[in-house]
Order: sequence, then C-alpha cells, then structure tokens
Amino acid sequence: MKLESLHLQNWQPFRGRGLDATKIELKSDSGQKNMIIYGENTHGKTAIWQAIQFGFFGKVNKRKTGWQEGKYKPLIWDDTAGEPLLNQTANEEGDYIFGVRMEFNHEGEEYTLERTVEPRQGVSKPRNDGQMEKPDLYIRNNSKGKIVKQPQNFINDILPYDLAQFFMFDGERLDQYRLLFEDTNDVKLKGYIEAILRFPVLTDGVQDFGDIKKKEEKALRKFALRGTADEELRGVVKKLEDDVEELEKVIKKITGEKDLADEELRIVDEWLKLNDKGAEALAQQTIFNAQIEKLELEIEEATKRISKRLPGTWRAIISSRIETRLDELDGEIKRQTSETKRIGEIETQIKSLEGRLKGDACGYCGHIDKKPGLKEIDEINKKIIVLEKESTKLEKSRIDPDPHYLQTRQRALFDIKSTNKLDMLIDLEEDIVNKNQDMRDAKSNLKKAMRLLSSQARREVQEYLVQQRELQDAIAVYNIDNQKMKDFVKTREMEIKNITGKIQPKSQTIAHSKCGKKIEVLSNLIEVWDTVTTQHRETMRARVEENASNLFMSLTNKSKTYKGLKIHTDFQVEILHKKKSRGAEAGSGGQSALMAYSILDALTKSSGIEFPMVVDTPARSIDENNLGRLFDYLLLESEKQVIILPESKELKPKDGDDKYGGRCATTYEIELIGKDEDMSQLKLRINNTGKTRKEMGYDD
Amino acid sequence: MSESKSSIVELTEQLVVGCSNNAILREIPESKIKEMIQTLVSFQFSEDNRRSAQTNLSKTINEIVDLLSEVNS
Repeated sequence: MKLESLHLQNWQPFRGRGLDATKIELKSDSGQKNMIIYGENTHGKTAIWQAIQFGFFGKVNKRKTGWQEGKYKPLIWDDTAGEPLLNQTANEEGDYIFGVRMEFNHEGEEYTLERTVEPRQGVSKPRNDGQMEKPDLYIRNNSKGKIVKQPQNFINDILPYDLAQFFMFDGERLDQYRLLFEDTNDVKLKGYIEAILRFPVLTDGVQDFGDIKKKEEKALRKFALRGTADEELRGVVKKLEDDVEELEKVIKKITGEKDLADEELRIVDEWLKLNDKGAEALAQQTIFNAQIEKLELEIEEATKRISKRLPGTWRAIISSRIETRLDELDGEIKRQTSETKRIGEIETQIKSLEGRLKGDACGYCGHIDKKPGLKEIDEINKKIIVLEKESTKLEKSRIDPDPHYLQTRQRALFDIKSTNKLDMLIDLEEDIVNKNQDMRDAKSNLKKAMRLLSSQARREVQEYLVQQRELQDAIAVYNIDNQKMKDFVKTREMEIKNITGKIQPKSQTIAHSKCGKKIEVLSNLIEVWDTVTTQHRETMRARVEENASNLFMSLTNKSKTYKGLKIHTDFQVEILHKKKSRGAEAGSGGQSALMAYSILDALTKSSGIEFPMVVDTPARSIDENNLGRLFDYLLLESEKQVIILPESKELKPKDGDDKYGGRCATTYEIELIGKDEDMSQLKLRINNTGKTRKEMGYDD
Repeated sequence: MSESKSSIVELTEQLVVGCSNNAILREIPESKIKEMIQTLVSFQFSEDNRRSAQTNLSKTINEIVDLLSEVNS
C-alpha cells in the first residue's frame, strides 16, 4: 500500500471546513514516494501521524501510550478529557464535523478512504463523545468504480491493527524495544513479533485441528456406542464424557482468570517499567545486585582457574617480564660462550709461548727459532703471567652463573611461551581486570539507583512489587491447576478410547468411515503443522537476525567495535562485540534505537506486508553521530515508502531538503497561526508531484 | 493481503513439502493445503474464539476426505 494524499478537516490544530481544508500530497509522477513534514514540538506533527492512524483504524492512542493500552483520545473536548480530535476553535464556533480522507494505491488499484465524525442526529451542541456518532468509514475502489463492502475488514487485510505498531511508530517510544535486550519475558511484545512472522498460522492450526479432531472423535464414539446394547457401558462412557466436558469448563474458567491476571501483571509491569523512576531504580537495584553477585562469582572462578593452571598468581603478574628475562639470559649465555672461546685462545697462546721458551718448532709453520736470550725469556714469562691471569678471571666468569642453570631456565621460559600458558594467564588476568571494572561500574550504578529512591517512591514501588509478586504466584498456581485439569482430561479421554475401541460396530456406515478418515487426516495434519512450526520458527529467526544484523552494522558508527546482532529463539536480542572477552550487551540508548530500527525493518520485510513506514520524531533517541546514517537509510536506501516527521534539531528543513528533497514527493513545514498561535497550517517546501503549487492550493 | 517471498510464502512451502512427505496426506491437492493456510491467515486476528476458523477448516477437511475417498475407491 502506498499513501498518495492525506486531507484533514478540523483535525486537531488544523482548522478548516470540508475535507479539502488541509491537503498533503505525496503522489509523484516521477516516482518519488517519500515525504518529510518538519515541525517543532507541539506544532502538530503528531496530529498528522495520528490522522493516518485514525483513517485506518478509527482510533488514536493518547500520546505516550502504546498501541495496546486501550487509552484513546476523545473525539470532542469535555470537562474531563483533554487533547480531543476535533479542532478546539471549530468546536467553539459550532463546527462539529471532522475527519480525514486518504488516497492510496494498493496492489495496483487506486482507493479513496474517508473517515469522518459528526454529532448524533438531534444533537445540536455535542458535549461529550456519547453525543457524537461513531467514526464513519467509507472506502471506494476508484480503479473498479466500486464501494468496498466491509471496509474495516479490507483495512485489516492490508494491515491488521496489532501489526500496525511495526510500521507506524514514534521515535521516542523506540525505547520499548530495549526490553528485547533484557530477559524480561515481555510476552506481549514477543507475541506481536511472532504475530508479524505469522507463527500463529501454525500454532493456531495445531490447536484448531486438535479441537476439530476432538469433535470428530466424539461423533465416532456415538457411532460405536450405537452398535452396542450394553447400557452400563454407555453409561460409563457418558459419565466420562460429562466429566471431560465439566473439566474443560473448569480449564476455560482458569484460563480466563489467568488471562486477567496476565493482563493485570502486564499493567503492573508497565507501571513499574515506565511510570516511576523509583521503580526503575529499584528494578535496577535488583539487576545491579544480581550483576555484582554474578561478577563476584566469576572473578572467584577466574582466580581459581589461574591458581590451578600455574600455582601462584604472582607468576602471571611477573610474566610480562619473561620476555625481558629471556633476552638477558640469551646475553649471558652468549657472553659465557665467548669467554670459553677466549680461554681456549689464551691456552693456545700460552702453549706457544712455552714452546718458545723450550726452543720447540712453531705449532703452525714448523719453523725453529733460536733459543731466546735472558731478556726475551723474562718478557715471555711476563706475557704468560698476564695471559694466565686473564684466563683465571674468565674461568670464574664463565661458570657464574652455572651455564647448566642458565640453559634450564631458558628452556623453562621458552616452554611457558611456546605452550601458550603465558597468553592464557594474561587472558585470565585481563578477564579479571575487566570484571573488576564491570563490578565497580555496577556498584556505582547501584549507588546512583539508590539515591533516586525517595522513601515515598520506595513505598509505592514496594506495593507494586508485592502486587507483582502476588500476581506472578497466582499465575504460577493457575498454570499448575490448568495442567492438572488437562491431565485429568487426558486420563478420561484415554479411558473413553479404551472402552469404545473394543466395541465392534454392527455395520459401518459411510458417515462412520468418513469420520474415521477425517480423524486420521487431522492427526497427520497436526503432525505436519507441528513439525513445520519448529522448522519455520528457526528459518524466520535466522532471516530476521541476518537482515537486522546487516542493517545494524551499516547504521552504527561503531562498526569497528560491534560485529552484529544476535537474536535468540525467544527473540531476545544482543549486540555482539568483536572482542569476545567483553561479551554481548545492550549498548547505549542510541545504539538500542538503531537496533530497534534494524529489527523493525527486518520484521516488516519478513512479514511481506506493504505499508509505509510512518515515523514521528524519528531520531529522538539517536545520538548525533548516527543521525546522518539513519536518515540516509530511511530516505535514500529503504525500499519502503517512508514518511517522517522530524523536529529541526533532528533534521533542519534546509539540510533535509538539500539532501533528501530529490527523493521526496513533497516536503512540508508546519507553521503556527491564529492570534494565540493555537492553530497550525502547512507550508509546501519541495514539490515533486508534477502539479503546480497553485494546483496544490498554494497561491504564491 | 500482499505477501512477497516472506514468512507466509515460506511456511506455505514448508507445509506443502511436509504434506507431500506424509503417507496419508500426500494425495491432498496443493490448492487445498493453501486453502487451509489462507483460512488460518485470515482468522489470525479474529476475536470469535476461533469458531469461524474451525468451521471453515472443517469444511475444507471434509472436502479433502471426499477427495481421498475418491482416490482410494
């Protein structure tokens, strides 16, 4: 589905009678499909985002609430409700009709949708929502010239309400996706992820086939029992069947109560998560305490491992000097070798001199010198004494330290180096250092969290926490009871099966045999659907992980630090670090927001649903360093139609138009008007629609 | 609802293959398997306690049983 225009009538700050009062066009003849609407806070950006939501679904969430919280904006202002959908000035002037018109293309066909609200018949001055008609929806297929029957079903076929939150969101609320980083077991969010990936088509299938099979088995039993005259046997089966029916009612009741408790727990969790800093602090306190406990254990474990591998952690500490020591040892061994050589030379020289004294032939050339005179003998003896002294000195130095000891040490040090023991010890040491740092961080965070807790907040939070615990306990009991009841049902069904299985019907009718065949088909369908459930879950998880990871790495400015996203089977998400030792973590707020965009993109891609991505304050949670990449992706690279509503601090109109204007059908800016500046109007900036500005209602 | 090569297409392919490898279900025409999947897709967000989905599925399975009976006779 591609949105082509949006028209507003008396819609929030956009005053104007008739559905052409405020027109936003985004159909371009030259293929541009995106749109940017710039606007400062409170100027009406969100009102435009909400107009799209209202057009499709007939309701608008209150600001700051999620899609599923059931808190909607009132249609008209009354004493109790703020932020109505009807423009306040229009209300004061007695103009009570408001609504939206949208033109869109879906699967190649053109449609016009109108959703308008007016006062109930006979009400001239409505005072509350009860005096207004329910929003009236009308859709026309312009390509076929036909009115669409059951228009809301048609919209739900394009995009079911439950899945709309993946396509239309507020950048400010991306934070909820941070929950995916934590092991919070947020069933609701994970449930929607499963829904967009269509897992329920398989799980509902197993359940539906099972229910149909049960009915068929009951029918088959009736056939079988007709064939027996044994009244007592019929009575037993009837009793067991009544039991099963009764137990199933109990199961239904327990399930209903459990669903209510689940919902209450969700509300309590939500309160604890979002509405109170104290709750956050207390929750953080629990997390940090757990982190500290875990880190302490890990440090203890790492220390033990070091001691076990090489007794005495001191060795690891001094091991950085091993390299230097090896160099020193090498020097000493070289020195001793050279000294030994020198001693040998001295011995040869002394021998030669002694030969001279005796008048021996020269050891090298055989030449016989004449016997030396007294003076020469004296000189030779002096030379011999000097050489002997040098030799004695060298001899002492040569064996100190013991060469054998030096070589053994050298071998030992080489051994440590070559068997990677040193690296391992250094890694372990580093690990401990890192963990100690993490522990210091956790302790400091804990301190900060504690400071945030005022005593009153703490009391209130404690109450909610008690309620949370009670609900969790109650849910656990419901689960046990439910399982017990299910086991009873199973036992009784087995008994029924055993009894009826032995009855041989007198004759088998066609209906009887078809019923048997249907049960057989259903059993096999359950088997196939069940097998594919596991298979499909893994296929889609891997696909979402791959797509989200690729996009995340292209968006983040920390691609040197991170290596991607890891999505677990329960859709818990981690940002993976390149350095293994630091492990995986949630990342900063900005990185989490990029992760959220990546996951949303991957999920919507896998859903196969075509719908524009409509994002209010798209970069609210993104830090400056990642802004550019995000806008590039949304407006230049994404294949989807993208409609964004940024504030100027996220994207300045001039910068946005210069860089992305060429890829947009239009860009607009919201301006305040009216004497109290309580109304807004749109200023057309970029126009690539092919129409003139005049044709678009702008008389320059 | 428009679906590209996506989760629906993926699971349809897996279910068609799963049925063709099953001794009892292999004779079921692909169109009937797709009909069941379409029913489950249409009623994924229904709020009627799955009654309509089961009625439609049961109808398709009756047709399947008739088809299988014809094949076997």
